[in-house]
Amino acid sequence: MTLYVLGRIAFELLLAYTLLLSLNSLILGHAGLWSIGHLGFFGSGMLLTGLLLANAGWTPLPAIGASTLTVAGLAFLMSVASLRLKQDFFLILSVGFAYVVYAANVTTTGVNGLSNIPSVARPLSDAADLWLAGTMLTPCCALLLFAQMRLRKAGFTPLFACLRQDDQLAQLFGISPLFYRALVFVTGSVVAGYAGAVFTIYSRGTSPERCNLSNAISLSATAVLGGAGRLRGDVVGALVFVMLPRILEWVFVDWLHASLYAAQWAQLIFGLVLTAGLIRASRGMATNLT
Amino acid sequence: MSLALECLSLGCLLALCAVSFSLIYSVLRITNFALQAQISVAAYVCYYLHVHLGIGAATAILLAILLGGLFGVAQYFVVFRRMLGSPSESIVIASLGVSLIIEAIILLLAGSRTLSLGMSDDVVTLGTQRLYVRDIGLFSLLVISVPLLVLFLKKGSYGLMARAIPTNLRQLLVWGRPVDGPVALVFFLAYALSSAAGVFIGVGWEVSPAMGFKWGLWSFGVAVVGGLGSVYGAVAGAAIFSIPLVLAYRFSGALFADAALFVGMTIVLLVSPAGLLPLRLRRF
Repeated sequence: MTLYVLGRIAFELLLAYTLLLSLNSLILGHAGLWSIGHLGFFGSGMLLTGLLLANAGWTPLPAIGASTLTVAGLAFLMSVASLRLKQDFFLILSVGFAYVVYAANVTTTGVNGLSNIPSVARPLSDAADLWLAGTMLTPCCALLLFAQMRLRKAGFTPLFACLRQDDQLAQLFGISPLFYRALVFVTGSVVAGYAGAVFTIYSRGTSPERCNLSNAISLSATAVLGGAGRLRGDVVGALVFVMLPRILEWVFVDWLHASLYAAQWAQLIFGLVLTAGLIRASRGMATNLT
Repeated sequence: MSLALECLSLGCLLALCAVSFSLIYSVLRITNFALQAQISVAAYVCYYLHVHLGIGAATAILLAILLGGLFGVAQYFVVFRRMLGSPSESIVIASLGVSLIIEAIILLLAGSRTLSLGMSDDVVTLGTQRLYVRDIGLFSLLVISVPLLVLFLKKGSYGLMARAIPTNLRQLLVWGRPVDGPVALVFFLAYALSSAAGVFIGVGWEVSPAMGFKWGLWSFGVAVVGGLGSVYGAVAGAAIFSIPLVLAYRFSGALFADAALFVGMTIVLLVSPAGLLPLRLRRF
């Protein structure tokens, strides 16, 4: 296995970890919002950056900035309009958003997405693009992780527990549920949008299948499987989300030479891991690690 | 007129699936996404019984519905019973896991090609209009089953206990009241309704592994918009959304129609965050 392949796996892990941090520890863990279509924000960032780079001829930094700001605006509008909704009611709205973003990706860039984005890294090589994208994503991930740890240490846990469980209780303590929920939701969504923009730089294109409903559901499923609201859970979730499909692909395609049914077996095993894992540890696998 | 009949047919199918989502929600306060896989399972079981075993159409349909109900009971005892009292997001995701397992098994056993149930789609003429027999059967099933379900939840001892479970599970267990029976019965009814929808979809359209996901997602949306947990709400949601869905499919592609449906649902939820029906009607 070459260093470049290892680097790609490391980047995919970092990407999944950033998305899970923003979804699981922040939105689901702190605000209790079932944002199953969180990948929709990733898709929005990816699409906007791709269009600005490929069609409008923008340079990377303004394109990433503009698309992240647009995602922030989108998340703010969505939060203002919809944060009265909870649990399944928010879930269907979130699924709807992810579907609309996927449809927008397919309609504007085709099923295969954009592939004509010029490389921005120097020297011109895939490894340089990978290095640049990794460098752009790492500080964001570190910042998010640091902020979450500070929040815990600063004694915000009861505030978020109120926010998750009971709006009236939160108001009794002088907390505005809508304000904090909107703050958490917009922050998490901006991170996902930024990750989408960085992904465009990394892959020099867009990929609508990355943000389809099936992937969005898988990401949320691994978030809950890891352990909602737990930092360790994000590590478990990222490992399952990125490594399980790769291991299964290796087992079925390279080892068993059964590529015809590889996808189906992978789906079956993912489903079994998900169901058995949650029956065994209903609060997520990370709780068993503590 | 043909458009109205098309809306009625689609509305009845959506209502059957949405009612099954609402029934499970009324007992466990969770959305059971395994129901969407059940739509495909029932269609494939019916196909196997009718095409491979040569069982008559009516018997095959009834058997598929019955087996679907029993499959639901089995799922309750194997998966959901062990998760009673767990966080609701964990149960929802576990149900997604069950759905993935079932879809993968269908793909491994039957492949990804679309199949035809091979049942004659009979037509009766009423004046100048031609009606499909399956639509008449579907409408009759809905008209009969919905009031009976409401009666069961309102007056039946198992129904009353099932409705008490979400808020009083611990008390019921402390008093030694049987919880499994009522929940298993609700699972049976919900899965049987979902299976009926799957079989009728198979008769009218085609049988494919992906059919459950599409219909399941639509009907979950419809159930949410109707006010989850409400049987009447599910029917009302289906009646309202079947019209724009049929129109969108006729005049644009599937991608646009689905996106339009979700946008419509979003608008309804933003105006009325707990669903369409007023609280008084949402109880059943």
